[in-house]
Amino acid sequence: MLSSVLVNGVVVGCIYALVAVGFTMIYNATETVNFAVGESLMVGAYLLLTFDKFLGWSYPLALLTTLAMAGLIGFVVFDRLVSRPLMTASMLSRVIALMGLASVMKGTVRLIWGADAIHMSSPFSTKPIVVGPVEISQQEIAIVVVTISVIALLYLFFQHTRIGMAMRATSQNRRAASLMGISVTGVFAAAWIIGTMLSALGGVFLGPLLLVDPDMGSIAFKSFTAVVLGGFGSLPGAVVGGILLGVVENLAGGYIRSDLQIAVTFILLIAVLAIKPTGLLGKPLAKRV
Amino acid sequence: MKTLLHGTTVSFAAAVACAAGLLLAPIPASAQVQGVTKDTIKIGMHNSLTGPIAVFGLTYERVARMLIDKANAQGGINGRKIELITEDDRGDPGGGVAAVTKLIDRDKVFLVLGGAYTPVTLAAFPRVVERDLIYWSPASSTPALTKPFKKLTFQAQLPLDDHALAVVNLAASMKPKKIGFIGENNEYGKVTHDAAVEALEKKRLKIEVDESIEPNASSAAAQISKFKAAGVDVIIHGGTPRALAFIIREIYKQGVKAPLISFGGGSSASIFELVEGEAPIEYYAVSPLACQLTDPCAAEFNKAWKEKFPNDPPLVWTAQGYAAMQMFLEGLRRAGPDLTSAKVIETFETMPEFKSPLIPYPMKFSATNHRGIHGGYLDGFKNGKHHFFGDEIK
Repeated sequence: MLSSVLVNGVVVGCIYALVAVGFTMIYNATETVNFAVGESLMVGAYLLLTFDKFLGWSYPLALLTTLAMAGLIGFVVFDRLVSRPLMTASMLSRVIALMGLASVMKGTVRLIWGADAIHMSSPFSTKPIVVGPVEISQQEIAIVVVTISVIALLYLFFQHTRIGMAMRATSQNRRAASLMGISVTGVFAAAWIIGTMLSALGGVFLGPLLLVDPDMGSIAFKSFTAVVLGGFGSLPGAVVGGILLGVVENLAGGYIRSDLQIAVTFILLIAVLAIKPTGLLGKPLAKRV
Repeated sequence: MKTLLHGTTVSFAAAVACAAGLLLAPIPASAQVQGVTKDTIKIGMHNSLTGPIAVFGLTYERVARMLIDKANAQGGINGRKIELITEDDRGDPGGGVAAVTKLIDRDKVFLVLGGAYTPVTLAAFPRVVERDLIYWSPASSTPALTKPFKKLTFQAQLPLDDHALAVVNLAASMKPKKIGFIGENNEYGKVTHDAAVEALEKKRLKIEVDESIEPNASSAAAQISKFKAAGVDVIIHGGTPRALAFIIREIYKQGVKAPLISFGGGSSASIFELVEGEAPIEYYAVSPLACQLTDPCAAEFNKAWKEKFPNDPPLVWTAQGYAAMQMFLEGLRRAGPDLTSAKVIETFETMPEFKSPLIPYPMKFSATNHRGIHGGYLDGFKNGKHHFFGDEIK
């Protein structure tokens, strides 16, 4: 039982981590808490469903188009329509705007695709692969492999590309970055594009595991928990927080009680924050007074 | 003689006689009844058009509207058109209470048609009943709606304790040594659990491994691992399709050979697609119908539905809702033009059996029992093939 629970915990944790990384990236660049991250995940699932199931495109084409459209939504809707006009507004105003956007996105999805739950096929065989005591499906292997690849790519992006370094500089000190010639608005746009694409990728992975419906984005609330657990603003923390959350959830269900899964994860969160208020890998924020 | 306006004259006696006639003439009761006018009957409906069980809520709303539109096109009920006002309860108990409050206080409906989701029904129907209005449910399966008996509530849906009979009859026929139960962590899961326990006790069986799952869970690995470790040979499920998809995939992945038998919440086209294709486990779900949706008993319904919703495949619950609404409209018609709540109640209690080719048993209410449907069958899937279990599991 332990192997099944751990493997599943890691797989689910990878989905949390993907969404949490996107969330963190957006927060670092724009100082905005994106409460529409779940809806980005949901839109990603619906886009893939449309291209793959309804239009019959090949999976690679459907996936690439889904990610491209998610990036476009990130730029046009999140950055240009919502975030940019509210750049100088208070955090509360931006949060409310994003919560409103989340409702609009859900309503739009219902109008276009209906409220029925839809089955999304996996592009991989669902026949389990048995390795010793561990059973895992190809879909789950793909989730872990792609998550590791995406995190590795993001590392290289932030360390070795101009835009990546510009985003790091902006997150450290927006004013200084601007004075150094970095286009802060360009960085914002990049953060929204990449962040939305990552959430959509989470939806692409989650879709075949459950049924696609307009409320599936509620799962992203767990990614928010993962972000806090790992340390707000820390990208490695988002990854660690996501995977740890997935594993602890499953272990709690397997070895304590399944109806206490949510309670146990919040107990863990409170315990971590009590010992280290900035989260596992978060850094203390020093402010000159 | 008195002269009135413009030289018109009437006798004083005639004037008094007219006034007396007006005062003493019986005023039709329906003229005083909320929601009923000379040409309209206002009927409210709350249902989950959004939220975790929108797939069921939408289907019931659509089938009700389809039949009401048809009745109105044919002249209405006893000369009155039905105005159906639907409120979305969002699958949330608070939303259900708000919905019925609005229907009663603002829309002033004559009665309320109930929605499909147990937690919402349990919150909403007391609000309707305390205002002395009828709560008529073509959709809710919660036993508490009609047990203990309530004069103002009617249930034309297979109650969960009857689902339990079909589920447990099938489970018992498999001669299990160990039975597992997995239910949603909400009212629906609790009600199905209690109904299963009661039905199993009558067969001298019990649940050995008892698990729960959150409706918006992202994994069922822990629960299925426990079933596998315990060696259960039948699993009973009480919940809705979202978490059920995880359960089915996990059962398939972990190679658990125990059949999964679900209460009616597991009867969904998406779930059937899953067990017929990607996760071909042995799976059964309660059906209220007398036959499969593709069989002749459902031909008339399928034709009517397809005309109205050509791109929307029906569920078994759509067909059941169709039969229930047909019974409702027939009862309303039989209640006659002098419409009051008391008249409607009396009509439903005394009307003869309502036979529908869709439902295995004639539908009937009585003065002591407001449950209209009794007994259910099962849709079964084994090795990716669909079977239908009817009379053999009575």
